Amino acid sequence: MAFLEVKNLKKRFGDVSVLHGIDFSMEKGEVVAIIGSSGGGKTTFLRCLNFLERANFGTIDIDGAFHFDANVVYSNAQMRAMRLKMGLVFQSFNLFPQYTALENVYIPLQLRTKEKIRANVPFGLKRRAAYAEAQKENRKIAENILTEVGLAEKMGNYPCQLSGGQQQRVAIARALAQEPAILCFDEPTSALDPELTGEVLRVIKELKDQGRTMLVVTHEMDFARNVADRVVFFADGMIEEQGTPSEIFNNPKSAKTAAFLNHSAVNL
Amino acid sequence: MSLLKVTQTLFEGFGVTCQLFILTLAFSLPLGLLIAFGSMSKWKPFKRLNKYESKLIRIIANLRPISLIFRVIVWVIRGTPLMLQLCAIFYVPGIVFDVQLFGGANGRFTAALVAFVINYACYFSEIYRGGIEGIPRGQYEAAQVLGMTAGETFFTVILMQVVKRILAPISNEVITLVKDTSLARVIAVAEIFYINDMSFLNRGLIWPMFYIAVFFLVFVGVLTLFFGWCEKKLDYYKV
Repeated sequence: MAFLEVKNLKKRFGDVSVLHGIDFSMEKGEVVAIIGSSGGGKTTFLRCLNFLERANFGTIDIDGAFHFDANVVYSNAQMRAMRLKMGLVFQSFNLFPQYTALENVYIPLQLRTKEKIRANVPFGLKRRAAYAEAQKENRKIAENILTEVGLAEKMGNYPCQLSGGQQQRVAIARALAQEPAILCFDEPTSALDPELTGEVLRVIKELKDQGRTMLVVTHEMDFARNVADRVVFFADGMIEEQGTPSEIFNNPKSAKTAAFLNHSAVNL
Repeated sequence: MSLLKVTQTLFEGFGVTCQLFILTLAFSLPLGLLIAFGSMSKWKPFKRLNKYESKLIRIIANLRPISLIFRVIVWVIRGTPLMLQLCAIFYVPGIVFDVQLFGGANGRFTAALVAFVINYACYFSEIYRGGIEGIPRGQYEAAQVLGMTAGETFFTVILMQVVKRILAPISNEVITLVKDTSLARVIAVAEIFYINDMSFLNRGLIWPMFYIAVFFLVFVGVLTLFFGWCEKKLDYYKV
């Protein structure tokens, strides 16, 4: 079985069917780019994988971590545990504005550590001490990750003091800190000025070199072509075609894929 | 009559005004949050009827009774004069139901307090609701994918953003409250205007009435400085 295994995933909004049965799998360390025109279901697919939308039908399996079946009712705690295995970076960053870059990364982490401590250390001063200890560690982790994405100088800054590219890199650091099995990106550079997209894409490329498993919904065709191991083309709520970048870009089999790529090329 | 004597006398009434102001805020600020949550309630007990075609049944299916009740309350309270509400709260229990709810030495003050708390809680609830509903969905979703519980999301992510958003409208409402306390005069609460009427106006001394403005100006001046300070404190982030 593959690292990520999605079977017959379906999603409806009211009477409108958005995903009509997606079968998809991914290996550990693979970087997959999802392309396709707006309304094709790319983002909905990503949101279903992160359980921001609940799929109406189908299963999602992550190697050893969890098995999700749309027919089963899960408790809130179970849903949270599954969400934590998936990381998501949003198009609009969604940093918490009242916290510094460092706090944005370590506060969510600290909340989860606290939960674990609550379960193991009964109460009293020991728990207090454990919190303080964890806080130090989590800060350290956050500092390291922010340094890794090139923001060592900006840790104390608030989101409003950062450029779009820097904000998105903080968001990537925040997602990474939870050590997700798969890191998903929902059009991570669509809200950025062209001169800022480079710095974000470079970070994603570095993550690939570290062997991270990533799923990137993108409109950056050059990025899909040069960085992804595999390109998946979504059309009308289905996977129309998938293959290596050279197969998809140089030799598309489906007419829809060819039309989409042609259209993208004309726009350039 | 000397300025000192007038000031001393008016201060008695101003003390009551301040009490009314502080107690109203102490109760109506939290009550407003409850009303806000009530009017945002998404509970639909008849949701299952949604499968039927009929328009009427669909309306019932989408009915949110708790939200509806709170919105009606807010509509009635915001839609009628505060002066009328003061009279209603003070007189109706006794006249209509023959219950002595607000008897005793502090009865009038208590009645006024109840009326102010209900009235201001409704106004505050709408400010809270606007503040909470104005937070972008992305903030909730970001918290969700980071594995936060609903409580953690509200207290670590949403709350301070709401506080920042509502500070200006709340300060507006608070300043209005300072001056609205004088409406308690209609049920003879011994606030500053009542004291003025009894001590000076009824004896033909008119100028103290205008002198009262100074009390209010100073009070509102202090509040303005306070809210300005709060705004500065929250200046380090943008929402």
